[in-house]
Amino acid sequence: MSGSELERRYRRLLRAYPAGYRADRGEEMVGTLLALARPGQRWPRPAEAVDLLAGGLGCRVRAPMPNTIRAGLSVAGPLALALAGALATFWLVFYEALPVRPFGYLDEYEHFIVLPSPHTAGWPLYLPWIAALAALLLGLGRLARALTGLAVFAQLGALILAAGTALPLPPVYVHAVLALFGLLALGSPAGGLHLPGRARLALVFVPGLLLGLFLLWADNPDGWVAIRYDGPWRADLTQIYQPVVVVLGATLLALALRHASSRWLTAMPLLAGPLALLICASEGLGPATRAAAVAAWLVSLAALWWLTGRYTWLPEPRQPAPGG
Amino acid sequence: MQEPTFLIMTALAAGPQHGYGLIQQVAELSGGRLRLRPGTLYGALDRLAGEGLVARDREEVIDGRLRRYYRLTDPGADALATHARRLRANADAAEARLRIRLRAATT
Repeated sequence: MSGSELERRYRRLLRAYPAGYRADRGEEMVGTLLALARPGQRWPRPAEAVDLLAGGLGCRVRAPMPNTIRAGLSVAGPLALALAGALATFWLVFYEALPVRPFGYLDEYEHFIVLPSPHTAGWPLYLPWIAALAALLLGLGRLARALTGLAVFAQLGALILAAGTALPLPPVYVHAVLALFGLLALGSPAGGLHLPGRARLALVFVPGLLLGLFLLWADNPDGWVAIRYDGPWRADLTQIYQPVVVVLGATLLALALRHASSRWLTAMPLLAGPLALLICASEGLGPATRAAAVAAWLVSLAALWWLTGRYTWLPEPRQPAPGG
Repeated sequence: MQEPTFLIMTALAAGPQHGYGLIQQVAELSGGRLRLRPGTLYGALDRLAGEGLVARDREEVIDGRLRRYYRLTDPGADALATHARRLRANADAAEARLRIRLRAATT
């Protein structure tokens, strides 16, 4: 029958819309399309096809924000700021303030090669991130958001400068990673960036504890500068990075599974994007690590795509009045 | 407010309508000039519902096909009235200027 053929073809076109939308609206749209069809029509008209494809694309582009991603950002936002603040502190101390970088590599003669710190003109860019992190840890959510806005603005400006001029600025990926984390933080729902008290305490004490252990282990009789050259703390980047990424990823995943909510599950791919970029851009990492980072991000994005297709698009229909 | 949105809201002003009925009414209101297609119509309804100007009303099944009705909300009716007043004021202003032009041409 031509009617069922036409219906099947309309349904095929409606696949341009997300699954959740189709579940909610598909039957209604098919009914409207068939009501508009001419007698004996077997194929959708080209203008109809274009209209449905454009409608589906528009729906996919604008739809996720109101619910799933917004909810995910409420979790991802503060965590993104915490990560940006930690990275800014790390880069300021180890790439700008100290004479050499903390990580080097072993050459073919098993000599440990120490890399000098770049000492760029971009060090002031890290300060707003650190201030924003401090505001977050002190529970000053609105101030944290304002400082994040300032930091993102400065970072995007620096990104343009770093790409287009010969100014001695940190590499492009540094600006890109910080700006992406900052945009995630700014995307969290209005009213400031907040972390629960226990999370704030953990963010202060865990890195503090790690730094303390590191300093004890480093055994640096001659102070900061001396330990960089022959202290036992020195490490090949790959030996440090992989455990850090595994621990960080496992912590985030454990948090997501513990909370088992779409907010947390949506937050993971949002945070994974800048982290994957950081891993891909870092020196000294093998192709397998980079590929694994990108693959993990893509898998989490696919999960996000699946999640965003499942929500109610419009308010439920009004219940009829009793007896009416 | 764009013309299709204005006409969709105008079509809903008299009472709830389903998608097919809305397309027919918009065509009639525009004198056949504007024929909405379903992708455009439902995109506009989503946007209007998101702004609280339109809401779902009721559903019925006719010949095995789902029909969902939409209605104008109170804020939607206020927005439509405001826009209609603005259009009327603009039309009045345009006609007044055209009368001046006509007088100048005839004297």
